[in-house]
Amino acid sequence: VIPAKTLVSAGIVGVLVAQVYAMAPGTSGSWYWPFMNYPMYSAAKLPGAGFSFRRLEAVPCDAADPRVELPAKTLGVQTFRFRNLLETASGGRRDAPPPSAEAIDEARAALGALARRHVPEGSCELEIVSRDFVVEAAGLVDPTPPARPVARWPLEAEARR
Amino acid sequence: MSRLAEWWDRHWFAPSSLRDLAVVRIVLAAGVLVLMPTFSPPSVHIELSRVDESLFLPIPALKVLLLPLGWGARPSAELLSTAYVLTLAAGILALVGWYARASMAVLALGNALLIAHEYSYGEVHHPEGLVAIVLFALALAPIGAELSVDALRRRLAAARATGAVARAPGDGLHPMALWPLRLGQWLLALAYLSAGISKLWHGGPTWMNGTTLTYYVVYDALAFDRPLGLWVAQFGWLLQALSVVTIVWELFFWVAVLLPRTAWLFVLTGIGLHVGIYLTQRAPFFHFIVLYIVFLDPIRAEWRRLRDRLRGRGAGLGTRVSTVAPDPTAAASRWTVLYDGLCPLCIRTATIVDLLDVGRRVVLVDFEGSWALASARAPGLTPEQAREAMHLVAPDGRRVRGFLAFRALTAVVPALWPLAPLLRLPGVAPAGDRIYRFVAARRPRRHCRADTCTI
Repeated sequence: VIPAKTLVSAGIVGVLVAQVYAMAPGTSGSWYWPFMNYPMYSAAKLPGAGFSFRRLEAVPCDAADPRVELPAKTLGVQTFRFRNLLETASGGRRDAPPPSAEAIDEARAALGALARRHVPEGSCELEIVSRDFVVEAAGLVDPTPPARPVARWPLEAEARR
Repeated sequence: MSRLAEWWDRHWFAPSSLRDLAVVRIVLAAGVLVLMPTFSPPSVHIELSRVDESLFLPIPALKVLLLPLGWGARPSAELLSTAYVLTLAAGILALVGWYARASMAVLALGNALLIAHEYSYGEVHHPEGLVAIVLFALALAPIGAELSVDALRRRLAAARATGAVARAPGDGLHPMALWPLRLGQWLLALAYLSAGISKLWHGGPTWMNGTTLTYYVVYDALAFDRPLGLWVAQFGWLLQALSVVTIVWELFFWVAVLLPRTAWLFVLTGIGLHVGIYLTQRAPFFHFIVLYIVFLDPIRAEWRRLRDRLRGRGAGLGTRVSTVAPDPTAAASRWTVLYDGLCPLCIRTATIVDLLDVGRRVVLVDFEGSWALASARAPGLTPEQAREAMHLVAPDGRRVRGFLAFRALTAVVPALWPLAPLLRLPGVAPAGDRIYRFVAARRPRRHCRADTCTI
């Protein structure tokens, strides 16, 4: 009979080795869930670093009507997937190669499909607007930078209400 | 080699409090019961089970857990719904400690299955992994020995068999009570070490320039609608200081495991950082905060040390944490229950009170077996009066009897606090008193104590 302490010790060693292995550089981290690495937010940023924050809006057919923002929560899509779709549909990030035309069309179609049930009556187009944020050593320079349109495409006919 | 083996044995298997282990069981089960429906409700799983097959990328953990259905099988909405209900039910049973190990095993399996499923669609997050592992470890430890329905059933059976109040067996210490807690401690330390090393590996010391943390706070504050994050991001000096604290805390969290006296510092810092991260970035690492309960023993010891120092008695109570040794300072402030040791019902009641009295605030005295002690605690009390009703004697000598004693007891024992306001509702006292008198007058009594009947 193997003593309980020996069995438990073997289990402890196994768990700790698995965790250390998952942490090691070169392993695919979270693939081994619940053993995983924790590399989030690890890239350093220098003063002057910035990013574009995009959001999706439903554009009314009548310019006098208000625009309506369509956030990830409203569309029922995971935040990270939503961010990727917005980035691709508007031509990609500044620091990455531009996506192909097909990828852009696919992303816009996916956003159109997600938005279909949520656009308000009288909407004709979807638009992605972007705000550029810059971070300096003293902190965030402008918490409300101006928004600029970066992509606009018509809603499918069946989505218009 | 033998010294290493000795250290290993002492580090993982030093006799430790079964009660602390039970507290960890309760806190983790309660944590999962709250966090799972909050951050991963059934609707998430149902929706995921219906998305296109091409998006299903099962992680190995899910493949292993669903092996009976075939390698890489995709769970149906019905299976997930059933698993969800079973997991919550097992969580409740594990919480109250009814078939504690079996329920904890089901909770661990169900919890792992559901999270692994959620993470099998290309997006994996970090908060739940460590708790998922520790639940499995708890299922293998004596988690139902204290503060559980299992313990209550065992003690009531023993009380019935012996005719005396059944107290916790042994000294409340067990060599298998520590290792799941230690495992949780080391897993936390490794996770934080991984995060700290990653920051230095990818970002170097530049990561602590303040700009980096500001950048991430702003990014998440915008993505997750956290105005507080945008406000905080305007104070570069604050985020630079927090960057340094973060790196130091992550890289050296293991010190809390090896030097338990420092645990409170690391844990309090961790709670502050995780709450701050949630408020500014909405990253919900509440599972980590719940898992900090594995540091219960060293933090409580430090708290006692501090309390004693503040009371002016110095720090002379020892440095090694003894998790069940009664606090000598509490002796003068304990309440006394005088119960009838010839009455099986009274013995069972006293057994339940003893089980629930986690903080050892009550002394149970069988006045039929220890009249000298009983009369010392309640001068002037006659045996006839004692036999009429249970008496509760306060530390200052005041005493109450019958229903009022029971009601007062609910205010003394924290586990009974939920009952206290109910027993103070209008009309409850007269009705309770009548019921108490009715039962007390008709309670069966033995003619002699179980340990003296054979003499």
